[in-house]
Amino acid sequence: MIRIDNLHFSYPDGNFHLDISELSIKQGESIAIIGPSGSGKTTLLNLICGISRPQRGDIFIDDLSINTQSEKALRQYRIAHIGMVFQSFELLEYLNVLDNILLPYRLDKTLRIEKETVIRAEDIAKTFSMEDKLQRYPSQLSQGEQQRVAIMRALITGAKLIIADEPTGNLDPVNTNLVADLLLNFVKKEGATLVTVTHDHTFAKRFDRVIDFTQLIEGEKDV
Amino acid sequence: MSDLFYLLLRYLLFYRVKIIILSLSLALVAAIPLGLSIASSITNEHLQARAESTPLLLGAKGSKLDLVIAALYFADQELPIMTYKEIETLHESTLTNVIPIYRKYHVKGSPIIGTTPDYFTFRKLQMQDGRHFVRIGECVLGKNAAKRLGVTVGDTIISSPDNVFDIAGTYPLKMDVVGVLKPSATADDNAVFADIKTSWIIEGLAHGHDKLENDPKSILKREDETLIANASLMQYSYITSENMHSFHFHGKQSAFPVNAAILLPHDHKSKTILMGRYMSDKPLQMLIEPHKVITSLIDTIFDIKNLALVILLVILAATFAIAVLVFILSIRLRRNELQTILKIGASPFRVKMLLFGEIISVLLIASVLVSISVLVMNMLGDKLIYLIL
Repeated sequence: MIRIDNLHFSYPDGNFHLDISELSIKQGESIAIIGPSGSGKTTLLNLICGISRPQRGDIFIDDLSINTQSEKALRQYRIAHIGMVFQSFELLEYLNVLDNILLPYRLDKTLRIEKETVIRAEDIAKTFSMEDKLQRYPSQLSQGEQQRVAIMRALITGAKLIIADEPTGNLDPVNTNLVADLLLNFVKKEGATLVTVTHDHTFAKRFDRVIDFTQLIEGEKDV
Repeated sequence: MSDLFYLLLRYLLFYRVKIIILSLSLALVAAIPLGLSIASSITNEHLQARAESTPLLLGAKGSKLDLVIAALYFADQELPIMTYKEIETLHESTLTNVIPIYRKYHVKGSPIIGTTPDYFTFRKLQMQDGRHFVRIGECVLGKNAAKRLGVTVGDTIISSPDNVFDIAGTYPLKMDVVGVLKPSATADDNAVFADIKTSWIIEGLAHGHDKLENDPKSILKREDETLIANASLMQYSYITSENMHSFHFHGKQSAFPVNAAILLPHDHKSKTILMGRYMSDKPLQMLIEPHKVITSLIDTIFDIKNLALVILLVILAATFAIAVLVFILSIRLRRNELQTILKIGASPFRVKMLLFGEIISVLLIASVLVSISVLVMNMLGDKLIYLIL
């Protein structure tokens, strides 16, 4: 699913650089990336998504070279094939839950909201126990519920790659377990690949594989 | 594009209070100078039209502007008095037609204009109901005055006393409403018209009462052929067909008061002669051309309006600066939202459209509000201004 070869990335100010010689993630695999703050975990996620571009090396997703794609092609690929979950949920407060879930469909003309899309959104909401809150606004939801909506937004397009940047970082232990259950189970059911950055070692243990980022950038892949 | 509009619409609806306040602020600041400009031009037209239709205006020496606004627009302005002798002299001169105006009293705020029936012909005022006054004690009301006083033809109105604490002052006179004028969108709509003699009766210069011969108790003394009444004599406060003939004036009519007279010279030569006469021979009166006074007034108003417009333009600039600040703050507040949208896969163009959509919507709503207010001002401004005037 994902293959990274000889990756080199640095920010223009030169204060930070990231080098990864090799990393492979299989289709359907769930990966937790752990490591200290500022080590480049989020940067790696941005590189995988094509939000940032490496100066050297290759990133392949399903044999598609991310680096060689145009901005437009990357955006269209990202919106259709990659689901993203952020630590602070990043829901649009002026949209209700249903509209937030369907947001990716409103951001690119290649995606259209059909009747089936809405049915899928309602089905996912049911799975996430949010079916009775579809008309509510983010400010009317708890933090756990908001993160569930953010995850549903990442899953709505049927993406085969879900990138999550500390999805439980803002949640209490109860909601962390709940969100982790829902996310891991749904991803498993859909056969999607999940790459998650987390500081929560308990949460990380529930993944198929845990990558210590410090060791990864030093050449050792797995822990 | 429909998705973009949908997101924009949701945003505008969710933040409707902010959007409405911003739009209203911008609209208000933009509409005020425009409204002021329209109102000013309508006012100018109104003032000019009435002034230009009045060739000459005679009054006692004093403020020309006071004379014009009191005699032409019936403003509540106290005017110096001249005697009716001036009117009689002008009648005799054969240079002009003269329409006297005596404006001193009122009926619950509606001015009583003592004049002659020629006034209606001169102003081309038409009756909506009833007829013109033909005798003392009758009056004709402007449309607004009738509505305001809640009376119609066949009703009566009572002149308001000069001073309710002065029992020796002028007594109220009950008058028959015999006609209501068609609306003319001028000051005439707000007035109560009566014969100038009726005004003099209100003034106390004439009165009516029973014959003293029939009421010996009211006789104070006899001087030759003249009977002098004592204070018990009851005077009529309502003129009817039956008691009308008992009304009589004390003193000479030529000494009775008038505020102003509209002069309608027969030709240009007559006008020039009259102007010359009043410039040189008449130290106590002035003859003016109302349109010149109004033009001068409008020039002054224009200067004030220009100053007001400059101030409003500064306010407009300040409001726009605040609006720009609000938009900048809004963009800052939306930074996370916009970055999220970009990360998910939206094009930068879409993000910019979302941002500009908010700004364009506010400007669009403000423009619509300004257009509506200008439209309303153009359609109804005429009526509003004349109501104020």
